[in-house]
Amino acid sequence: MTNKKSIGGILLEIVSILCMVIILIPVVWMIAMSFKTEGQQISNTWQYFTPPYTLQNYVTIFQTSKVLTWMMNSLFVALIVTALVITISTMAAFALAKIRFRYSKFMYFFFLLGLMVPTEATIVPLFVTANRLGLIDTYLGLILPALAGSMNIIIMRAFFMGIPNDLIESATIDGANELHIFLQVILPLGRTVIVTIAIFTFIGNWNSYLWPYLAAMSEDLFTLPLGIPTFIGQYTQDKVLPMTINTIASVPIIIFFIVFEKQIVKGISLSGIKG
Amino acid sequence: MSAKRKRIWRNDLVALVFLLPFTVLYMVFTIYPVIQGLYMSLFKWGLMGKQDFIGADNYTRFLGDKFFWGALWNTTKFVLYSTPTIILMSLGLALLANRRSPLKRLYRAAYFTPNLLSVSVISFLAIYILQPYGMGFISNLLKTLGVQEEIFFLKDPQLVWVSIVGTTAWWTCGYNMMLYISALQDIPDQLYEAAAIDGASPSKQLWSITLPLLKPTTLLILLLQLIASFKVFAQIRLITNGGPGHATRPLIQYIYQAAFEKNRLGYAAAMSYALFLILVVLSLIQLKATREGDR
Amino acid sequence: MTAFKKLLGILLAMIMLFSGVMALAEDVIVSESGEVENPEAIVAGENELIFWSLFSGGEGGYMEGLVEQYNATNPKMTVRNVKLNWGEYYTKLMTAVSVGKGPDIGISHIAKLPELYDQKVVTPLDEYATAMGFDWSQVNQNTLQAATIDGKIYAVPLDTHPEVFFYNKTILRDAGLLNENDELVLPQDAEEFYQFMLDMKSKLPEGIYPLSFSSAGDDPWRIIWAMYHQMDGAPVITSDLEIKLEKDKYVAALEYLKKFYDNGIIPVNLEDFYSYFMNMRGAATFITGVWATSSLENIEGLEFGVQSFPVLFGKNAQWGDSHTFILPVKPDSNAERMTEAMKFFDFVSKNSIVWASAGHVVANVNVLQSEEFAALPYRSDYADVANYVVFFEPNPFSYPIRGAMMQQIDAFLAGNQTAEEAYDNTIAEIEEIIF
Repeated sequence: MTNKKSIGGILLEIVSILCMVIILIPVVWMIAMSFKTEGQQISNTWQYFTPPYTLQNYVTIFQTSKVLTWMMNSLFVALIVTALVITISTMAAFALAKIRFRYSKFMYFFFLLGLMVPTEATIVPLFVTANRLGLIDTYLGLILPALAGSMNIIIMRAFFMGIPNDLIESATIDGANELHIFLQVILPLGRTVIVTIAIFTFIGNWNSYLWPYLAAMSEDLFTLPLGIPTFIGQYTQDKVLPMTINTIASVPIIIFFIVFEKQIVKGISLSGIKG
Repeated sequence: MSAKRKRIWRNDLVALVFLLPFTVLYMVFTIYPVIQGLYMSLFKWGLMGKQDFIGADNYTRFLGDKFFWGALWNTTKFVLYSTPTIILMSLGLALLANRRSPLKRLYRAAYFTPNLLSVSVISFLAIYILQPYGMGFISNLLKTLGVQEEIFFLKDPQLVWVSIVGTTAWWTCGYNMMLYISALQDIPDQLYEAAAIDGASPSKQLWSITLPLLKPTTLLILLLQLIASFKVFAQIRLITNGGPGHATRPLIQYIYQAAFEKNRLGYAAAMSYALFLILVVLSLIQLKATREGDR
Repeated sequence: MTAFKKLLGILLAMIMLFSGVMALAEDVIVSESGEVENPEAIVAGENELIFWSLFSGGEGGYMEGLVEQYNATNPKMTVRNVKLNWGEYYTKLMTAVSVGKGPDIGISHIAKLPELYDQKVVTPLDEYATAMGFDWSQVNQNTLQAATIDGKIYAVPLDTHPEVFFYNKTILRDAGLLNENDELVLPQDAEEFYQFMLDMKSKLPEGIYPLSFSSAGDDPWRIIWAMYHQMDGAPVITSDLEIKLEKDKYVAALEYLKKFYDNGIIPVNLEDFYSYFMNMRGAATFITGVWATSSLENIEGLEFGVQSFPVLFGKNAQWGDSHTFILPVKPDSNAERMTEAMKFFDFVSKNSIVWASAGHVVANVNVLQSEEFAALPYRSDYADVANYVVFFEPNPFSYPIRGAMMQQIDAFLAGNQTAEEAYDNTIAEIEEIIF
């Protein structure tokens, strides 16, 4: 019995490792290619991964492309969006969850409606609207529409509802007003959900494509997902430079993941249950 | 009485302050475009603005536009192919990564990694991996192993879907796997222990305990996937640009092209409402399902 | 229930009020946009002209060189070259201009110009040309005529770039296919040309294909275009938007091309057909635009020849297009900036020998007749092709139509539809485009 089980266990272990290898090969290949010399003929697959290596591609990329600008833009937009999403969504979710006001049910319903409006389906009028407001080709134009989704509020409200009212009442008796309650009770207790939503907002915006594609006109405003195809479009003949720029775009987010691994894993289950 | 009134007013005011920033943005960038789109769809509308009022013409036109239906069918195909693929793969990976194993954390991180990459990156990787004539990774590997035959992943009308769905699955499975893992961890150990005492084999336990208990999660993933897949655009645009011919062009790309390549914003807005309708129906189902799940 | 209705009423009222405010905002912002100076980083410096270009690879480098040369002359306003992706260039240009965020200088293909005019993307140049004394007689008059709409000039012709036939001399010499002058002589007849290429296949070493060519995108479309017009086909679409594409000729051209893939003359589904010729071991010949010339010259050890795409169906007709300089509409521009831009156009035109080095047949007649041009190898082999180029009849839908034709050719060459279906679908798509 135990013997049989362990054989099965070893088999599953091998399958797990095999899956891992298959899933990671493209990423490893990408990174390996970024260290290859331009123009090298590859006669068998093994040579993709073996020396000689060079750092020349990184030098070339940083010298000839605006990858640093794009990266800073991606980072800037993603960070600002994350900060603002957290600020305005926690505020709104707090009001919906813990302030007793008329129309609170109505507002909740009104925000629920927003879950059904995907950006993809309103992209054309959104472009016209943003244009009227003078937002096309500005940082604000990249940022503001990314703040308008109501999903975060719905998730946070559900979470905040779970915070016991006793805590709020005792704070009120101590003379705290809503701002104090928000800052000193809700935010600390809502840490988990806030961090989770922050991480997902960050990843989502770091990778966002469709809206920036329309809203950013000048190269100085491109984010990485826009800049990469523009850059690669100029190199049809060799994969080395495109792979280098792909690596440059991917490594920071992978490091980010390694640092926040626990939170991300926790966060996904949270969004799954409440989503 | 008046004190109570005052308190109600005060609460309304405080709530307003807290709600205002989001509500304004929400009105401008989520709700208003829906109305604006409806308005635009009644006009001939170019990049430079409104041209002529044409009533419902845009709607009757797309109902008779075979390229619209072709694009909608492509999107539907993508949904039909990708949803089961992604669900089965995510479930498989979750089961693998949730076993008692010293490498558990590594598995999870590895399976999740593609999810972190930008859509541009995964699309170029897909193109480079699938290129024929020894230029792509797979073709090169086959040559190294002595297989001379060429496989045209992005040209064959069937294989191109395999390529797109495969790439998407590789890219997005990690997320759903995590959802499954968290559901797996919610299953009490006692259930397995009891089953083991009753002499149920691990595979029996899988079929009679694990899978039934994962049903709500599967339903959730199914709906999330359906909604996400109907919005498919970026990776197809970057990998095949809708080709060969129009064989993989999804609805959003057709809408996008109508608006920004053919300068027919009104027509594009009208077509968006077809997509909108589909997504609203799916969202309503999802809302209903999650609400029942909560009970 | 009544409470719910009340809420719904409030919701509707809010939306209506809000829509009203937005509608008002439209007028205010549009009317102001002429004067408002946006402080964002993208706005060019006071003394800098932003130039959006669509050139990549070899030719991109030559344009960059011309820009640097110009900036080195200490002009009042320097030019900043922003290279955009060719596939997205026009979409980006038109959306940017529509929101008042276009560049100072742009590039347009001559076939695209009527659409840019129709969408109010381009500014007439006459006034600024006069202001700096631009000599219109220095450029190719045919292209200039195509750049003139309603009596005003909208573009400065830069070049004509036809599709030509390159061949690897080393490979063909070894196969005994070059004549005593070390040149390849192509039969000028459809059946003979096909037999010739089949024969070449049998003479080439194992693994080398006779012809490296794409099976998707621009290039197949270009030679289909050439062959269709060699059959004396009617214009695809007239300026009055009448579809005249002839089915029998178009289908014949499609099926003729397909034979080359089906019989192993062209490797099917080649993704990167440039590399396949340039690596000197993939294929013996190669068809693409003249701009490849400079890239080929830079390949160490490659000995190549070039000639015009053969006349296979009687009449000499070739595919080609022209790059032109345009001034996109820009609300915050002024006469001074535009005049400075014209100076840049004049400089590039006069110095377009550099552009000829990239491979193009330049539009400046003085440069074309200069000794320097005559001294350039290869260019004179195809300079007269420019005289046989057939353009679209001017109409605002050329580019979308070109796109539709390409997509249907792709699907045909990928084996997803017959030539007849490709024709029918092309017509259906064109009708959809011009409605």
